Amino acid sequence: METLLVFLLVQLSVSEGRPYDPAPGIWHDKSEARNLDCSRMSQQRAHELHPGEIPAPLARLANQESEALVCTRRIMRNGERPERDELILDSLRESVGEIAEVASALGPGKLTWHVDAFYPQPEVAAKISVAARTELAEQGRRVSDKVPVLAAGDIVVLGRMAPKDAYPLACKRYFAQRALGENDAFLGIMLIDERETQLHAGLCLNGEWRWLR
Amino acid sequence: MTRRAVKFGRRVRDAGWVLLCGALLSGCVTTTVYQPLSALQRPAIVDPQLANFEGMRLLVRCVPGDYIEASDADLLCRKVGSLFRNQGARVETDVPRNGRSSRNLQEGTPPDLVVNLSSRLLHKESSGPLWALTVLTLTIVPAYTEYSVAQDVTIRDSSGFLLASDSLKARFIEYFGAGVWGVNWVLDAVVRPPEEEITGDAAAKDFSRDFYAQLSQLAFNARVRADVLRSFEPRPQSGSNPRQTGAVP
Repeated sequence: METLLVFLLVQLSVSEGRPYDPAPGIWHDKSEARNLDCSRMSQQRAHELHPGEIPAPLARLANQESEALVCTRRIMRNGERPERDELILDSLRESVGEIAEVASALGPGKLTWHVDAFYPQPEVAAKISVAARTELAEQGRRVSDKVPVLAAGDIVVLGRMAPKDAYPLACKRYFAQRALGENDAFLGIMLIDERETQLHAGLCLNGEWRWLR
Repeated sequence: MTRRAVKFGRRVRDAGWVLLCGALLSGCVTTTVYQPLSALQRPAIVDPQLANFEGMRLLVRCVPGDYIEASDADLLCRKVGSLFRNQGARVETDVPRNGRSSRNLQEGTPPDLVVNLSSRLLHKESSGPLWALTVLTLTIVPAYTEYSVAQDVTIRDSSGFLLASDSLKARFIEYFGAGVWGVNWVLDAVVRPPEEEITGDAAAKDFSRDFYAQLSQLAFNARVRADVLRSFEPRPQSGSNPRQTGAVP
């Protein structure tokens, strides 16, 4: 019995007795490890970012490059919200930033910007819209909270069309019905295919639709 | 009589442990643990068992380098080629050697998507003194080798326009020792559910599952992006249009 106890203690203390190691093992399970985003960096850089947790490199080892594995826990754990929503929202700032930058470059001048997002879940669509409006406003654009609306008949027809035809036609109808004028720009952000995890965007200016990404 | 029986029983038990350790030392003494570092642990929506690339021509290029040799790059290309073939694509593979492509890409129609794969070793760590201790203690004190790798993926269209890119990073820890293997084997057998098991080929299976899922998702995103940037005009060699869903204005 003593032999077994010593044997187990040796295993715990030497091999996996590293509770700070985020790898799956005795202390952490695989699902826990999947909720971390980890990256390798120099110990000096890691110390600057996390001074309380990672010690500064020893002065006598200044010539040797030592590294640290820095992990941050994801804000939303896997499974807490639908997978596609999680992926879209996790990279929302970057994707909306890119879209707003391209749209701004194509719509110079004193335009009033209208933004709408076409996403299956309304609550996620609202988040995308707000993020895009904020991004445009931060770029010094005049942004409206109003979303152009089409007649019920138009919506019925457009709803039956594929996105490649629906968005350009909607743009024409916005302009024809004066929901958008010459001084208005409409930025549409959407998902094209239910299997993808990225956002696309198009710009409607003077009744002309242009795909941005 | 009783004391003798107890002593005999203890000896039998000790002999059992020696036999068990010997059996463990004979082979199954390496335990590999896989930890996704970045991008690999993201969920993937696209189902690799469906025809996501029906009618498309893909070129998969696996670039050998300091970390991955040409033969391994060839094997990787064949496996990734099978992944996309199973999803309905016509796949060609290319393993450049000495900076030269193994295929004459000028001939015939260009591929719809070019998937470039290259691997990098980010970090490797192994303690010499610990290995010595492991040998001296007959692996009761285990040794380990830890390494992190990055699989860089870029996907371009036939004109070379970058449609998608990502760096899939993983960390592997190889424990060497009968004790570590034994402890994990017992935990796998008694405590852990099947998806949490560590021993056997669990690390390879988990990494393959994550890698192929992310690769399929990246390629599918690239496919839709190419369609959008082409304003949904048909590809030169016409394939099927993507399944279009979602809300419209």
